[in-house]
Amino acid sequence: MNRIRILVPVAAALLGGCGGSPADQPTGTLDVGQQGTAPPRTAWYLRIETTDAKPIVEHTYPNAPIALTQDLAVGNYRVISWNRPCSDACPASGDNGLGPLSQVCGAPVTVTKGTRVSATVVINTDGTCSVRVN
Amino acid sequence: MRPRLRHAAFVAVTAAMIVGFTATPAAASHSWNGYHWARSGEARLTILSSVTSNWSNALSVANSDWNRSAYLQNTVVASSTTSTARQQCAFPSGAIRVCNFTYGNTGWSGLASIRVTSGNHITTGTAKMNDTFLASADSAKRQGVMCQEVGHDFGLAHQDENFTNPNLGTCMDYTNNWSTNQHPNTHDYNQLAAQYGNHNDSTAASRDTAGITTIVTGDVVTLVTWAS
Repeated sequence: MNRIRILVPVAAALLGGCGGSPADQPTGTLDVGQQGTAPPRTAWYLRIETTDAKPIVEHTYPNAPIALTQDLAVGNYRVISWNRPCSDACPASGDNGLGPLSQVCGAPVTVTKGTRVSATVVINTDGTCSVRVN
Repeated sequence: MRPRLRHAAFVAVTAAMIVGFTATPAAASHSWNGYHWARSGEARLTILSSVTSNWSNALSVANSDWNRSAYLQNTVVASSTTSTARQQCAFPSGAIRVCNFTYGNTGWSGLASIRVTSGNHITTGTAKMNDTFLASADSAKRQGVMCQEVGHDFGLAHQDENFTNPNLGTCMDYTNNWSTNQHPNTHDYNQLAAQYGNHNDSTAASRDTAGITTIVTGDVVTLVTWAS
């Protein structure tokens, strides 16, 4: 019984360190917007991933400015954006008419409990980009 | 079991569990998803140099380093170094192009892209060094990033993606201090042997690229080396 009394809390602590129930985790909110006008015939993408590169969410913006609001567990993330050239009108989905990756940019962001953090994908006229965390 | 022995056993088991959770297996594969150049015998690739003179020595050293593998015998050949060529860093047919340019405040210091076939064969590759972050970096960091990006183009991933843990002595290890991470290590050469030695395509070493930002756009796969 003594052994159980000792091992149960230790096991719980070790397993808890590996991640508890998502519903129990404190969260914050990340807002991502766009500054600048995307060059014509470019499809833009946005991904939020953990700092160990586990994707959390990914969206395509073939014909619209980048915009995302996402509740996230407290922690460190990276906001990543990239674009691909379109041979004609950018497809709403799928790869048809899309070229290879052209530009990619990203920046780390920290989400804290109960707060909003915002990041902006800054798109230059030549299609280069950077991510600014406000 | 006596209490003292029980306590000692508990400590040992707990320590073993913690080590099990945190240790990096030294013998783990770090193939980039099994990608490799199709070849007969060792790979003899042309590496097109679209780098300016302040990068040419780093490329030369990286190529010599990688050629210590029995499975790589590559040659650096001068190519266009115009701003346009370096900025675009176009895929060459059946070869690798290495470029440097002030690519901007993108957040990445290096970018490796490969074009692959359905059989995981690499048909062309590029490696970009971002002078926005690297132009004023120390020589060790420049050498390490060059070595790493070229290594990606051979189908190698990272041995480790934690910037702050102790260096593994290889350029395929993320670090904030490149002093001892400028060149490949034995594990890299062993990995190349696994990928280019006695393998067949159905059983080539494979590892997902967990831990590394990977972007797939059609048949082009890109690994991002973040600046920090």
